Amino acid sequence: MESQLKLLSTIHKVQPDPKLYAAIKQRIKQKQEQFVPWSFIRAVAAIFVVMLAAQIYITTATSLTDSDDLSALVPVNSNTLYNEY
Amino acid sequence: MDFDAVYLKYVSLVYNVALQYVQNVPDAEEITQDVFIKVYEKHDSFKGESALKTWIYRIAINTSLDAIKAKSRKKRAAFANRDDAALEKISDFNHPGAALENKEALALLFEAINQLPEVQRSVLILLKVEELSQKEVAEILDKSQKAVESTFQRAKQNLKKILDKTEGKQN
Repeated sequence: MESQLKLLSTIHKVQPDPKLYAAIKQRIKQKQEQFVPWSFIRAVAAIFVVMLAAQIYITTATSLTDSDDLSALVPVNSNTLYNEY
Repeated sequence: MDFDAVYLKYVSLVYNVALQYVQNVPDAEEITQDVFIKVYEKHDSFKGESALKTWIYRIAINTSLDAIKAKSRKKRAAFANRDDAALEKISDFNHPGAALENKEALALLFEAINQLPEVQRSVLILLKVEELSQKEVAEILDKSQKAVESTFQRAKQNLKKILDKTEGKQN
């Protein structure tokens, strides 16, 4: 067994083909051309979700308060769209 | 991190690690390309918690193991009608680092090594072919030195069993 394992240490190091560098650079270039700005898309999606949630909240709050006392929901000094109530 | 400098410093390491796993030039070149694409894409997330060399070793090992799995899946699909034992014998051994007089013996040895579980195979390759210290291997594989030692002992036992079985079949 030991002699067989010693055989493994006879394997010498090999230098890769210099053309490999050009191939890697080419693949990196292709990746850059196909680049999708995920961080920007994620930020826009997050803003959209927040705005949608706010819209839903406002719609729900106004429909719930149609027949109720508004003072519980609207701050006294609020000058927002609730002012009409 | 300057990609070109990293490439120049580590390309030989990556290529040779890949060669120890796949034992042929085309696959090793493909793996080397994949490793450096990953290094390029992930270098921002490299936190410096380990040495750059250790990090690159890990990527090279994982990419090599993934490539072997993908190739074996492809082979299975291509030879769906043949039996598994016959499939195992299809060897791509053409290691350019093997001396001519040792080629046949090394082909047999690697055929056995390739049947070992992944961790045992990695420990054997890193210790005996890459000639790294137990400490370095432990760091790369994120294990204790004791675990590396016991994995190496198990690898030797299993390798002996596989080689004995192969010899038995040949006689």
